[in-house]
Amino acid sequence: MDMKAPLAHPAVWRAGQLGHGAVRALGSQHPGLDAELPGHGWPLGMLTELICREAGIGELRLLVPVLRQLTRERRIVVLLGPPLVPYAPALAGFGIELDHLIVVDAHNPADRLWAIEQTLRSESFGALLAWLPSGAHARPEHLRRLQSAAQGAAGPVFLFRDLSAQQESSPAPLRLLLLPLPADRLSVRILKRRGPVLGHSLAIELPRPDSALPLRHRPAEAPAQLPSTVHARGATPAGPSRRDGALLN
Amino acid sequence: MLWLALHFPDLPLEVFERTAPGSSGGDDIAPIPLALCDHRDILLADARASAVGIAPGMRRASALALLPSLRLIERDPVRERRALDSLGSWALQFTPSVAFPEAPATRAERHPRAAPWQAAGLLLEIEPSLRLFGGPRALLARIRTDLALLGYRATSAVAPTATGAWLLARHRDGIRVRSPESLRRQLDALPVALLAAARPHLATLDAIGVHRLADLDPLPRAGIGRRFGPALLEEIDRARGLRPEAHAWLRAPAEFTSRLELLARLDEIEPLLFAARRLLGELAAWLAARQAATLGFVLSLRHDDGSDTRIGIRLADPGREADRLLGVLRERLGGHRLRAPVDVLELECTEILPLPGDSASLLPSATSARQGLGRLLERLQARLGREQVRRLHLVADHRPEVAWRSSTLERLPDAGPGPQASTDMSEPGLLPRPLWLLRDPLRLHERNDQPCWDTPLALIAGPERIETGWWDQALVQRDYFIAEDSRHILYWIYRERSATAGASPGWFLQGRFG
Repeated sequence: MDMKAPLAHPAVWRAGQLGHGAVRALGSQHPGLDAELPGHGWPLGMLTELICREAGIGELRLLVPVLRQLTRERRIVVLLGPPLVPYAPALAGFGIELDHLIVVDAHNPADRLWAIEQTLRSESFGALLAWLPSGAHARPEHLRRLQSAAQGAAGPVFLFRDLSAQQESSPAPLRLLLLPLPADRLSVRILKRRGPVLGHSLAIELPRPDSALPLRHRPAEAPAQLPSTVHARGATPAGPSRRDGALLN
Repeated sequence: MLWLALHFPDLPLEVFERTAPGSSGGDDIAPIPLALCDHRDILLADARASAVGIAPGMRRASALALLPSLRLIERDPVRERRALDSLGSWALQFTPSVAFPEAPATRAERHPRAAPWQAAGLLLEIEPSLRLFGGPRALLARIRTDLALLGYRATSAVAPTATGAWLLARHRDGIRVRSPESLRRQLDALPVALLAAARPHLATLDAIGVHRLADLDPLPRAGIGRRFGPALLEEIDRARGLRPEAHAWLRAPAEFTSRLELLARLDEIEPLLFAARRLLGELAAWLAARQAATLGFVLSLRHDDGSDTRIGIRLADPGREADRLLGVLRERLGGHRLRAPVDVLELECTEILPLPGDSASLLPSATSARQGLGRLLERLQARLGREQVRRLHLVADHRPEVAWRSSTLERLPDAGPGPQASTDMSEPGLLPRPLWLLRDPLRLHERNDQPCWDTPLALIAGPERIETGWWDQALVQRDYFIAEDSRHILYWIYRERSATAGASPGWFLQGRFG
């Protein structure tokens, strides 16, 4: 029997190649990342785990391009259980339409898992960003429930988990480990994907706000000086010690 | 014309019984056996009481001797009237032509044994509705399911005349006749005692050998008219379709309020939801009859100490399906603790919008996705609380903590492709702002004049001076910097410059760049 025949099915892929065929995906708009993701983008209708130590390492900026695209297409993006306040001026600065962003808080772990599952089952969102309760509150059986609930979803589903999740097994078909890098870059390691193991990490350039000051590399002697906003009683601030580096944005 | 008559033989008992779980299901019976009585006799017994031999006409004392746990209840005509009215509103969803059967002759009231109570029922003109509901069989099945959900048992009959259908329904359940000939055959077999006009004369009729309607036919009409009054012949003629019928049509009330007095005090949510389901079923039927939908309702729980708890439910978009309303209520009550046992439920609905019926669609549409979102949000709001589901807005202010606000979701965002119309008009971030803001700034300690957060923070951009807010007692005098720690995580920190605003000078962490 010819072993190639069954492999012609789009849902079957060889261990050495990426399983592009059966995956519906939305481009992440990071070319380096898209190249390594099955379907060339964030998968739709399944869970994507983003594992990072804490909020604020660049995990949200990684998703800014899709959030911008979806909210501009008037599709609803749901932020469920964010660990800190999503800061509206910064989101708007990235070109995200706040009208199509909904923030849901659920402090109780059981409520949060319930809310995630409800959202997944409703299949009516453009993208879901959910922060899982930490540690023992998010067990593999919860994730299996969520993965099965995600099947019908029309948009990408991102689950943020803490570092301890790295060691656990998970039904999520795509799992990424995020680590901060200097100069507006983020290290992305693909822990699991439908395809061969990727040995190295990817360094992804993080986006900068649309209309903010351009990123400038300052010479060492001229400190990056931002304009002062409003001066009730104008005084020049004393420049504290400061080191060379990329000025953000 | 085709009439469906519904007769509620157990209504006087059901108005008490239907609040108890299990009364609608066939397999388990209401926990307490119930019987309705007047000052002396049993008038009606429920399934459990009948099983031990308690029957109408029995003395109270004998019944209690048979079943000491029997609970005797006096008839409550007001409650029955209310129940029948709400059943009338419920029936309006099946046809716009609903009427009550004729009130019985007033003289019947003086013969309590002959007519222990006025038979409760409804008449529905169903011919125009048959196609919509898929034929008489499907319509009847639907009506039965609905009634079981509401907690009532009915016998039914379908006939070309209202009076005929009403007589047949009280005789035997499930008679269906379409032609005048078979109607006549069925009517001829009925006992005369069913005729309202015959009730005062039952003894006489019995004495002259008239037991069935057919027995009257050989007798001279003029003689019957003189002897028993014209009403008797008129009623028979109406039933046979020989004389026109006049009906007082029912109209749905303009506002919905329904009240349910519970048989037992409830202190748990699940049985409470069961009882509320009955009220929501009535509400759904009332809305369907008015071709309307609701945006919200208020459920009042009256506690046994006399106080009230009002639970307001708002829907994301207008709806009228009982299951959906119940789902929202369930999420809302899920986390609720009852302050005290509840003995009365009252449902009130005033916010009504006209809503045409759903048209059947083959493919999921944008509308249905939007509805899905609405349902989702209302469920989330019901369980987590309204203020937990929010939208973000920009506020034109330079102080970072007041440059945004959030609001509860009052309406759905516009969905679908269309021209860009951003409602938040403000200058976009000219300056770098972090994606994450801390609710309260965190004080950073200093080491060698350098702010530290686990590791020393290196300032990579800044300062941006923000000094404003002197007009509302929230003066800020801060220099903002972007700082990076040894793991290359970026922070938004500031140095408080004065001790005036309640904060002492020093370094604070306010945001993370995400």
